[in-house]
Amino acid sequence: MKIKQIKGFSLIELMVCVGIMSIMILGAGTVLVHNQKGWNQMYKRVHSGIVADGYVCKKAFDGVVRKSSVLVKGPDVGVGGNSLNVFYYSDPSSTAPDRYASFYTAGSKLQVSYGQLDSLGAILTANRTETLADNVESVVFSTAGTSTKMTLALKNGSEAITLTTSAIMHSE
Amino acid sequence: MRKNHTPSTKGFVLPVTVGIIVILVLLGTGLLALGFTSRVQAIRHSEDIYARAAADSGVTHALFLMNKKLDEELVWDNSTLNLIFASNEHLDNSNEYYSFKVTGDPSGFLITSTGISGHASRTIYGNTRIKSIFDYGIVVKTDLVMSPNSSIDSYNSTTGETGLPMLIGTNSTDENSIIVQPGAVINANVHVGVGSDPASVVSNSGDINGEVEPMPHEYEFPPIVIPPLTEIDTKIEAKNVTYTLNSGDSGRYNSIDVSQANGVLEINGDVVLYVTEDISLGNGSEIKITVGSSLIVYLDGDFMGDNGSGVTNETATPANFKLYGTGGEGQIIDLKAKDEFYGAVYAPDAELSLKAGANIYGAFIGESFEIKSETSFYYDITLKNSLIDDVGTRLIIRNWREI
Repeated sequence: MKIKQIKGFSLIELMVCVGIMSIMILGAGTVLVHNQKGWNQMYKRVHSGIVADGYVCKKAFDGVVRKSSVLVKGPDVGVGGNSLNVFYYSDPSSTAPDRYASFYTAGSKLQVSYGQLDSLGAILTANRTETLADNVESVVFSTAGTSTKMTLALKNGSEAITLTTSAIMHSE
Repeated sequence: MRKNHTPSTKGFVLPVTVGIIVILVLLGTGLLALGFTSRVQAIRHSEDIYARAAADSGVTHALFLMNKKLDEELVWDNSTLNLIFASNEHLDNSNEYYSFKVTGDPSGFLITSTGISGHASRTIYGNTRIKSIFDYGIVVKTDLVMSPNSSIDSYNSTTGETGLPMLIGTNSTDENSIIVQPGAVINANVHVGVGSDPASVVSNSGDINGEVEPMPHEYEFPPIVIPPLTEIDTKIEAKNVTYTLNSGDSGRYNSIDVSQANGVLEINGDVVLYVTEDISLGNGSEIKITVGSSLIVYLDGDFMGDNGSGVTNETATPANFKLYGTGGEGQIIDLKAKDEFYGAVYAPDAELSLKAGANIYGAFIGESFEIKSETSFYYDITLKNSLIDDVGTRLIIRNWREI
């Protein structure tokens, strides 16, 4: 009579195998979770709404401040630095700054209004208002010499960034 | 034939491993793609900033060359304006380039500057204006003192308008550099040294009807280039007599001495003098600029006026009497006027003082300035309207646009 030899694993072998597999799965799981978090974080840094809003704010701020007047009609910073009026020339032939841009917050929005100045340099009603960013936690404007600075904090739930940008006022 | 049956052993390690590897590869690829996108965005953003900075440099370079040309040419030659250009000028220690050109004429030049960084390109347009050395009504390096009950205001000598926007200022950041004594009034914006505290720099016991704030940038005092003049090298003396100078008498002299009660130096015509030593006016004497005449004086020495002496500008136009102090540090210019004073003084290294019997019209630029009489000073804003060949003018950017 032939004795059939049945191949198998001993209990110890199984336990060792399960142990090794557990360690491997745990390690791989940790790596996966970590990568997933990193990916999410990076994606938010590149594509999240507040980052895009920050870029828009910086571009609008740079575009206006760099062409604004520093001496003939310098910038006006509101009390506490929460608003900024800058003045610029609409045309090279203008004898004095005849346009303004006003940055201010309305609720949680950062807005900019554009309009004309009268012959005495007073601000007239805005022709156009744009919302640059939602979810504004705080904004502070300041000036020093020929430069103007904006420090903008945006927060949307767990996402938060603080953007600091400055620009030189080049027109007289 | 008996089939050799090999029992199949089912395993799960390989599929799990492959699965994990696939997931890791996907995640890694995603991260790489995201990183690549982020990097491309960052490069584009920074290239845009670099290109703009390069274009800024082009404007600065062009303006420098134009002011150099202005210094070198006694009379502006617009036909050589096309020599002021740059093509793909490399910015040191960077990968950026700029090109610029200048068009226009002295009534208004246009600088067009383009900066390039990688794929980014930015263009800036800068319109210039001629900046007069009398852009401020009064500006000093150190101290400005107003006597009690004096005042500072502005007017237009052509139209007669008053109360026009004007600036006075000091580059100083020291305490009490501007002293406004009791009863004195300033109807102007006041600029103090860059970064200083206006409340500390200005000692105000009078009234300032304007904004007091730090200058956006330090006021630059351009050097004076003395035009070539005939070297006469004698002393002009008018002691108890009237000595007349006509246009043909313009030239370089040693000194001017006008003294005694009837001593008069009369200017008939447009006279330009370069005086290498002192000008002194004795008690009761005067320098008289007759109607239709003008006097420009370049002075290396001091200007000393005794009581009762004075400069009488009968044209009543400040631009017709200009005094440029070229003596360097320590120069003293002590002006007097029997009645009203009309004139503009530019002496950035001199201690200026003025005592007039009536109103003062013009502009004063000096190391320091003191209004010694209880009179009103009116800045003539037409002095801002310089021509390109006027003394000490600079070209500055007035209007800036960019795309």
